Parts: sequence; structure tokens; C-alpha cells
Amino acid sequence: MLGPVGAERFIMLFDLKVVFEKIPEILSYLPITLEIALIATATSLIIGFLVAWIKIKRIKVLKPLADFYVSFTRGTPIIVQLYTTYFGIPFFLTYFNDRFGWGLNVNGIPPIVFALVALGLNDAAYSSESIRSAILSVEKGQIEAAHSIGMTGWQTLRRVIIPEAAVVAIPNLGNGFINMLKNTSLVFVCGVVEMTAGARLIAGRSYRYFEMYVSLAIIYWILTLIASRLLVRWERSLRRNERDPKAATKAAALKARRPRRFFSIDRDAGANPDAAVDDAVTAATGAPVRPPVPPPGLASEATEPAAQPVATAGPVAIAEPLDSPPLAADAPPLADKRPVREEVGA
Amino acid sequence: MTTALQLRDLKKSFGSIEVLKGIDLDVEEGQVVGIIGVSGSGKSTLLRCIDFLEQPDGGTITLDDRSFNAAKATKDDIQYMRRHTAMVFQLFHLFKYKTALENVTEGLTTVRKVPKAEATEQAKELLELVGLSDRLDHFPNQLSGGEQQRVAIARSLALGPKVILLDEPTSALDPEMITEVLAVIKDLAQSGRTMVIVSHEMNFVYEVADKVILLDNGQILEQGTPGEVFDSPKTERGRQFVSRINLSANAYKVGDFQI
Ligand SMILES: Nc1ncnc2c1ncn2[C@@H]1O[C@H](COP(=O)(O)OP(=O)(O)OP(=O)(O)O)[C@@H](O)[C@H]1O
Ligand SMILES: [Mg+2]
Repeated sequence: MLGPVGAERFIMLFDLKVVFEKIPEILSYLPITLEIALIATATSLIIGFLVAWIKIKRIKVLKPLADFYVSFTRGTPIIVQLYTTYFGIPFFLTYFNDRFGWGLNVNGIPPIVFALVALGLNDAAYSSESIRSAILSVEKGQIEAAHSIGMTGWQTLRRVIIPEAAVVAIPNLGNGFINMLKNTSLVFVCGVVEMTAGARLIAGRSYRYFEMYVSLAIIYWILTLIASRLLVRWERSLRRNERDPKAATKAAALKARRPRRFFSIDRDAGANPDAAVDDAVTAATGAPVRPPVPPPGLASEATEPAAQPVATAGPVAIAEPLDSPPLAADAPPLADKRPVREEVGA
Repeated sequence: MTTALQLRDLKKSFGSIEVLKGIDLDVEEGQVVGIIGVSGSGKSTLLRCIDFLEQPDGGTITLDDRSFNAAKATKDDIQYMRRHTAMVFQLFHLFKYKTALENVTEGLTTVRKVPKAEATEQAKELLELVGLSDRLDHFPNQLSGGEQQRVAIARSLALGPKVILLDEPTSALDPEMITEVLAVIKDLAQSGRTMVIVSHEMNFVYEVADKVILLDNGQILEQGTPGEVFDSPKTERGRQFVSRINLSANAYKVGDFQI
């Protein structure tokens, strides 16, 4: 007996209706994805700033440590970093408990903590470089002017260096945030159920795996589009010197405006360690099984067998999209273009 | 007359090159001191050492009643000097993401913690003084060079400095803008501000300065009234320097410019 043919057969294999029907259900996991991305990015900015400062000031002892951290983090796949965090934090806590008699609860760590630490530390290796070069791009004259009116080092940093460096850094940091949004899809290995893991759960109930992952892809795509637009706006709002002077005649000043641009920068795609992900991860709803933390000494051999994620659900492998978001390719110009002067005011 | 600023044996080297070889300088209150000299003679370095944008290697600095060893200046000393002197730079160095008004209020609100409304009032008055009441909301990139420098002068006045240091305030300007900036500086001089000005505008220095210092190779070669230094230098090198200046050739026309 022959099976159904043509359109019927297609719908049996791939039901477009399901793709859109399930979107709201998947979106119920969006808050956790956003929470991870935002908190990890904030962590990354703080650590990134400290690392940048250590490098700029060439602080003894810390500088080589910072160099090592950046090099090591950039040179290892993010999935491996997630595993090392997931197993490493409990290991160290147990060690400190035994060594110093701390009464920390090793098994009570919320899974999201591993995700935030791993993603935050991973991104900081990149953001520190963007922050460093942005800080270095601030003209010496601006800093001297701040000093000459009596600002302290801290006031100069807060009122002059950071606002000026932010304008330069935001395109790169924004691209980092978009990578971060996509990287959250890997944290299921730590046992966090965010959007990707959630979609897999939903798929497992209906066996509509393909549709579910197409829905998921659409959601991520729209999410990154929205994020990049918001970032462009933010950057533009920081470039306030390109706005019309309120006192000037609007029409004249409008001409001096630069053309509308989309926001997009490729942050060293070649060095992105995320590329190693595809094969390493077969679909797994849960985190890899971690054995109860062994007493010190047995740690290494005991954790080894658990290092493979246990495939429990669908047959579909997660493939991380490797490209940067599909946006216009031109980066906003960093150069401070001086608008036609005589048109303003007068 | 009381002395506002006094330097004794101020020294500064960059690596092995001694740029200031022991400068003694007295600036009386209300006095305008003009510093002239060939390129590389150390004029900028001298001003920058007073404002601690460079760290002097030796000497004593006295500002008002506070005196300290310049080479061992504490954070407090440096802060004291920066708060009580103000620098006007050749390239203006206005904060580029702040409006003209914000450039002037910044020191008041951030450094002096003056309430914003009050700072705005004061800043508006200062900008009016330099003839820029109609440019309050313009950003530096929306202002002409002359306007930017006038904002920078207003900014330097905001904290009520005892001494204003001006490092070639008109050298980066087109000729037609030099006049407007010099007019503002002359105004300040006449209103009794204490100033040290490095300038290549010899006519201006001649007219405005109470005292002229000719710096040469990190040392004071000549000093005195403009008449003494320009018309009857005591040293051979001094004579050579002034002989190369044609005082009438680059005549400026402050009188023509009204703000
Ligand atoms: N940061 C620095 N590092 C090394 N050398 C410097 C530095 N700043 C100035 N110098 C040197 O010190 C000397 C004096 O410089 P300074 O800028 O004070 O001269 P100037 O009299 O202001 O000259 P100009 O009229 O060209 O502005 C020059 O030989 C200059 O090369
Ligand atoms: Mg100079």
C-alpha cells in the first residue's frame, strides 16, 4: 500500500501550523532566557571592566593573570566551560568545606548560578578587550581637561572616561550581548530549563521536534533583531552631540544628520569558541548526571564518567547557528564627524 | 600687591632631557604674565607643571598662602593646585558629549557640588560674559573654533580660579576667530583676573601683559615689562628673538570686535 503523497505527505512530516501554535508556549520560557542573558552580561561588564583596568594600568601580578584568563577563555569552547563550571564549583566548595570547615551546602546551589558564572566569565574575556580599547580611545586632552578643573581620578572616570568609552564600546558589547542571547541555549547542560530546553520538553510531548526547533529559531532570530535595534538606539542616544542643538533651527540642523544605519559588527568570529558545540551536545533535557561529590582525593576519577551528557529525549541534535545575526553589515562609524557648522544656528 | 603664585627653582625633565632648568616666577594678584619663547623652549611644560598635568621634578610652588615641595606634592597639594588654577588649552579640549552649558556646569556640580539650578545660573552668566548666550545647547562639534575656545574660557572661570593658565589659546584658530578670543581674554585682563598666558600673538602680549617672560631652553632669559623685553632686551639671544618679531605685521584688531 502506498502512503500519502505530495502536500499531505509534507504536512504529515512538517506542520507549519504547529510552528506558530507553539510559539506562545515556548515564549513562557523567555523570561528565564532574558534573565540569564542580562545578569550574565552585567557580570561580564563588571569583570570585563576590571580586567581592562588591570591591563591598562599594568597592575603587577594581576596583569599576567588577566592575560592568562583572557587567552584561556577565548581558547576553549563555551560548552567545555559550562561543564568545568558545573563540576568545578561544587568541587572547590567541597574542598573549602573540608579544608576550612565552612558549612556550605554544595548540593543546594541553584543551577542558574552555574550558567551565570560560566556565561559571565566567558563573555568577560571578550568584553574586557572591547572595554580596554574603548577606554584607550578616549583622548588624552579630555582627561587633562577633567583634571584641570579639579576632578579626582574617580570623577574623571565616571563623568568623562566611561561616557566617552561607552559610545565606542557599545557596538562591540552589543554584539557580545547578542552572542550571549544565543549562548543561553547551551545552559541546559547545567540543568537550567530556559527556552531551548523548554522547547525540547514541549517537543517531547508531541513528537513535533522539527516544528518546535523551527519555532525556536524564529524566536531567537526576532529576539536578536529586537536587541540589535534597541542597541542602535541606545548608541545613538549616547552620541548626543550628533543631535540638533535645541536652540538651532530644526531644518538646518536636520541636514547635518548622518544617514540611518543598522547596527552590526562582527566580533572576531574566527576566535569564537562556540563552533565546537554541534557534535558535543546531543539533545538532552536534563543536565548531565553529576555524582554526589566525593571526598577529596577521589574527585578526579569519580567525576570522569559523568562528563558525557545523557541523552534522554529526542533524536535531534542542537546545532548552534554560528553566524552573527543577519543584519546589515556596515558598522556605525566611530569617527566623530563634524556636521556642517554654518547651517547650525546663526 | 600680594603674590598669587610663586615658583622657585621649578625643574622638569623628560628622561634625560632637562626641559625646565629651575624657573623662578612671581605672579602678582591681578597681573597678566605673558610667556614667550621659541618652540620647544618649555612654555607649555611650565604651565602644565603648575596645573600638575606634568609632575615637576623639583622646586617650590606657592599659591596664595599654601607652599609645598613640587617634587613631593601630595594628592592634596595637586588637588589644591588644580582647583585654584584653571587651564585653557590650545586645542580647547571641551568635553565632547556635553553641551556648552554642561561644559561650564561640570566643574561646579561634580567638583564643587553646587546644586544644578545654581550651577546653571552661574554658567549662563559666564557664557554671556564670553558672548555665547545663544549657544548654550550646542555641542563642541557644532561650534566654531573661536566659540569652542570661548566656552573653554568660560569653563575655566567657573571654579573661580586664583590664576588662569592659557597655553596658546589662539594658535589653533583661523585668523578671523583669533580676534574674538583675544577680545575675551583682554576683557578678563581688564577686569583684574590673574593670568599666565603663553602666546605667539606678540602684539597682544605687548598690549595686555604687565610682565613678559622670555623663556629659552628651559630658562628665563629675559623678564620685565613688555617695553623692557620687546624694546630693549638685555641679552644677545633676547635681541635675536625680538628682532625676528615684526610687531606691526601681525597686528590684531581687538578694538573691532564687540561681544
Ligand atoms: N611628554 C613629553 N615627553 C617627552 N618630551 C617632551 C614631552 N613634552 C614635552 N617634551 C619636550 O620638552 C620640550 C619643551 O616642550 P614644550 O611643549 O614645553 O615646548 P613649548 O615651548 O610649549 O613649544 P611650542 O611653542 O612648540 O608649544 C620639547 O623639546 C619637547 O619635545
Ligand atoms: Mg607649547
